[in-house]
Amino acid sequence: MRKRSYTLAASVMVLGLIAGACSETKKATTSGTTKTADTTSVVSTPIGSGEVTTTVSSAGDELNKWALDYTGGTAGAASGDSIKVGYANDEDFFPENTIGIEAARDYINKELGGAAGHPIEIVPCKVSVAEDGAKCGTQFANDATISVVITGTILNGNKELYDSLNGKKPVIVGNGVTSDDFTTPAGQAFTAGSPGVITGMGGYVASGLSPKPKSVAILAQNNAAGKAAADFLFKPVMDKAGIAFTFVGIDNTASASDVQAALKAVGADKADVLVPIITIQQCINVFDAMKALAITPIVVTTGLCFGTPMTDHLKTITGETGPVPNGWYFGGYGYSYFQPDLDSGMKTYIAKVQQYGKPAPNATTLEYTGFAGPEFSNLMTFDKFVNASKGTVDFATLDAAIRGFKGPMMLQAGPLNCGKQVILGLPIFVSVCASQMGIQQFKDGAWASIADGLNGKAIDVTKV
Amino acid sequence: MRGSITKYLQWFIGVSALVMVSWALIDTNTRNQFLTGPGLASGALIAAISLGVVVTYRGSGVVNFANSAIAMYIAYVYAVLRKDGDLFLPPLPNPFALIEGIVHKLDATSTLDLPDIPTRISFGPDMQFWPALLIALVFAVLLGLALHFLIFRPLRAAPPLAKVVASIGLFLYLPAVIVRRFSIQPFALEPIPFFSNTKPMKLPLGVSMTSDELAIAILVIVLTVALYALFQLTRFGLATRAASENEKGAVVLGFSPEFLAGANWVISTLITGLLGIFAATVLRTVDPAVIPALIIPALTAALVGGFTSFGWTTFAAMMLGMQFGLVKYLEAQHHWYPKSGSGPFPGMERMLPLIIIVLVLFLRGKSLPTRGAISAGRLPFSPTPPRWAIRYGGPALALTAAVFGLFIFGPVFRLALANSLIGIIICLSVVVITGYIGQISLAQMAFAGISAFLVSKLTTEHHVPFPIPILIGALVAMLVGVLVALPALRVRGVNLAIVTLAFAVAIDKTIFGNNSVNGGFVGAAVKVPKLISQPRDVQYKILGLIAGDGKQPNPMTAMFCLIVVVILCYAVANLRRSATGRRMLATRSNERAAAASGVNVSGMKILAFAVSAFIAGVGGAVSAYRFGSVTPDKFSYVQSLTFFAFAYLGGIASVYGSISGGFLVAGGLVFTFLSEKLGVPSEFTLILGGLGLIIASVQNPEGISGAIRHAGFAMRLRLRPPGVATAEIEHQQPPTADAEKVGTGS
Repeated sequence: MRKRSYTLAASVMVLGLIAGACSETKKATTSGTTKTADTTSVVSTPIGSGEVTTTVSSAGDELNKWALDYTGGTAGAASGDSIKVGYANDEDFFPENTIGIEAARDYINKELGGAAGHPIEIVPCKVSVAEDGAKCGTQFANDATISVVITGTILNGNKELYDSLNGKKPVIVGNGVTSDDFTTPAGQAFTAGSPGVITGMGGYVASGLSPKPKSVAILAQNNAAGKAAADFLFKPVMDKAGIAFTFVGIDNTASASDVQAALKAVGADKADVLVPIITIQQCINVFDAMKALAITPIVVTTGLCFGTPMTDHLKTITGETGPVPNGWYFGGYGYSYFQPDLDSGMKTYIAKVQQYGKPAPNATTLEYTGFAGPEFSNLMTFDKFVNASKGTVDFATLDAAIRGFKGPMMLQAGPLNCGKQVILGLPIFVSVCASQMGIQQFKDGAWASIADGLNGKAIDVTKV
Repeated sequence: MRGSITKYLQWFIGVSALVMVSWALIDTNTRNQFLTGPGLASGALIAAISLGVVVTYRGSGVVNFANSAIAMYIAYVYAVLRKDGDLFLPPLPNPFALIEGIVHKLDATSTLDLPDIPTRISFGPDMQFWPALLIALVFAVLLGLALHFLIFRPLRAAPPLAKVVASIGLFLYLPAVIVRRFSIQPFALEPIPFFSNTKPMKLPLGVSMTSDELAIAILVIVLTVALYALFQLTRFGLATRAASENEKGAVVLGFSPEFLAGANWVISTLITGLLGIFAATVLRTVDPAVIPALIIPALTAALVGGFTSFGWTTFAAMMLGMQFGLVKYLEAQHHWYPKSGSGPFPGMERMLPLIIIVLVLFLRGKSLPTRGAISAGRLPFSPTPPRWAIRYGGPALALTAAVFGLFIFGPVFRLALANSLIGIIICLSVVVITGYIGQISLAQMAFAGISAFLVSKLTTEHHVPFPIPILIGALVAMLVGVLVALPALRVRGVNLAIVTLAFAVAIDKTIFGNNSVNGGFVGAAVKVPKLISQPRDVQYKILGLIAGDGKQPNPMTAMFCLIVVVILCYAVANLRRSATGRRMLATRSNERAAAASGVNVSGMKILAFAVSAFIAGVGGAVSAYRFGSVTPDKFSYVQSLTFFAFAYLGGIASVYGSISGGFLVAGGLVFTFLSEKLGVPSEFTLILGGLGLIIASVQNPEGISGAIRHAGFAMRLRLRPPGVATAEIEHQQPPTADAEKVGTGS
């Protein structure tokens, strides 16, 4: 009798928990407040702790004009049946992708006349494990109402996702970080992707720095993509330039002290240049470790190293002001969130993401640097295709438009050449469209273009 | 002769270890990588977890696999108090939500909104160091009491398996709660006000470390000495030691083992929490992955200390924390370091705990501590599959699955069916090794992964035709299983669980993380026959009926999985009915008695490992064909723990149990139903799975299948026709776990 009552209590507890789960989810999804869209474009919104400000000073008409020119849309709100876009992303790790694509959706629907007059609807699918990749892929592939699939950033299940979609749906690869994202025949990435950025960083280290470095230490994720990036994209460039090269991989579960130990082990105290290709948290750990070890190599890293956590950390732990550590170089797609210009669409992006963007769940600030920008651009570019096809959204039309897109691409430097990029003699990156990347430096409180689209010196990675 | 060889080998290993450590300390370069502040801080965190493990073991006989998760959870409590001034709560059952759900189901337009259970208790905007630390430590005390009274006291007389399962349930549950509340992203901790974490101090021998790193190292040493004093010099410590060596003797002397266990649980969570908070602060962030993953080195350190010595445990933990930098240095700077392709051999720092564990087991062997418990429960009942189930039940179940897979299920549930079927295969492998012969293996997904990666190589590089790679992959997994079985000849129970867990981690990092195995840039693809290729939107005409809905996934993918499952279910059921199965069960019940009855115990263990690894290998190969690719994340050690959990939850000692377990796996039918039909988010998979595992280990060790069997018996009893004696039905009823406990009581 006693055991039965225990079992009954346990059963009720589990049932209550399941019901509570539904309830919590319902409340979470309905609690977000929707900002009222306005057309003001003079924005001065703090990032993170409030110390960093990106100001867009152009008039709203100018920004909208750029966007209307880019997308080929008509000013005004969209109406009628929606055009559905499948969107797969790892929300746990990369919620900023969602900030970007949702802000773009709202902007397009409210101010750019939608896609050929129709509102765009995002159909999200969360990918955390490989099973999710297959699930999202089949869900999208089987849904005849979905016109295109745009991916965010996915760590697991990428191949399963692309295999399900290949030949069934047009695919725009978003901010890929795994090798599957850049070797899939299922879709195209309108950026240089990590193969392009890392190769370009290698090119800059080898021939852009003065004096020429003698030794380079690289820290990368201890996974297939991280090790392959170091071995196949960075090392050949260093070998060719006669620069000594050391590499250490760190797990995604590495603690701050593991990172510090890895930094010592890789010889960062003696190296001329340190190249961390790691997540923002590990970047923070690298910064702390450099302080603790009192070492000052030149740091060349990626855009993964900037964002609110870094800004907050600099302020609370070290008292430094500024979005990123002083003197660090950053590789990216050729334009800068911190030096917004009109021609690349950066001004429009920053104004509109601040206007329409909503902070990620559990976040208090709007994280719009990093992956949010390219994802915003991807939806804007899809809008451009639909407007160009006058609303024809069948597979053949959109797939041909995606594969034939020559640029210019919003926020990405240089022309596109989808499916034909050969990086370091490797013809395997069949889904990479762009071939240019940029390097910027944050020094003494200001950003400087070193080699990017702003100064017309973006690095062509096919020539590294 | 054998004894002297062992002795020489022990000396050789000891001297080699001494030479290596001396070399690391004498050479300036290696010393600078070995004696470092970060290494000491890492070691301190490992020591925090391992000291808690030792205290818990000495006090209650539980090897707490969840102690790292407890350290992480308490660090989160502290971090959130400091930052937001809030005490967060786990998801709690909300009866109002049931009412809301029913009302909304009946009336879609209803706006009924009943109160929610709060997710946080707020103490203000933020909190200073001391009050936050105090509240976090009070929470640690309450957590220790809750763990003792709600989970481990009811399990005091249970077999080691139930305790391991409960702690694994906790290991899965606590991080899942954190993911639900804060996402998987790291949570920044405010620095401790008294110490600097940026300005390094110069110490003798060229060692450089920050003051917070030095402080945590000193704190660990102080607590180690305090624990030593507590257990050596006080009456409480003496009583605990007495109980840990012989509970019966302690009772005779007037000590209460229950009180001692509860007190030690509180001490354990307090120390783990305190050191966890300090170590996490030194590490600057806490997240649901980093600290829980330290359970392997922590268990290794505890094993070095024999689960009794605090000094040796702390020393080993510090060494394990400090070796990371040295291994990474050797990896980056020395040409002689083992290479794989163009890069260094990965994951050697994770291989070290396995090597140490194997050495310790080899050196110590049977002298590892065991407790003279007051009573020892038995493993879950393993019923003989009845003839009707083999003749009719099995085919009916398979036919039902086929009908649903081919004609009824939509795409999402067809995918879930395939996931569940692969889950059943892995659960079957757990049934053989744990349910039938009582060996706790936490490396089943490592065996599966070895097979899966081999299938990838065989199909893409050697063009071996389907289905031969499945057989080859499973056979290689079986050979590896036999190798892993060798330690099982010397150790059993929890110690074997530690060995297999360390093996799973080592294989994950060194083999699956190796670019020459996982394919690097291009990945590890699998050449899949068109008939079973999943991304095909096809229909088939079967007996005049149209199978499939013309959408992905190809229904034949699930049918392929189903055929394999049916074959394996029959094989495992027949193994249970065979003389070999009975010998396995005899070994499980009592190895000495089995040996006295003429059972070759060693042979049975090796056979069970071989069969189990073979089945897991088949599971890995089927998974490879089903996905069309192989990635390391599918075969990580966490996956091994998760599948073990679901196998136990389903029922670890029967084929029906593995079927129930397969239904429960992530992405399987049950959770797909919950997410698709009830909107339960995927994070709840591990929350519910972990909680279910804890409840099952305490309340229903036979899992879901056992509960169904007992319910069926009760129904038959109620519906018995007039004139049929109760005894006729009763004789079919398996003995309950309680009845068995009574039977084995002292």
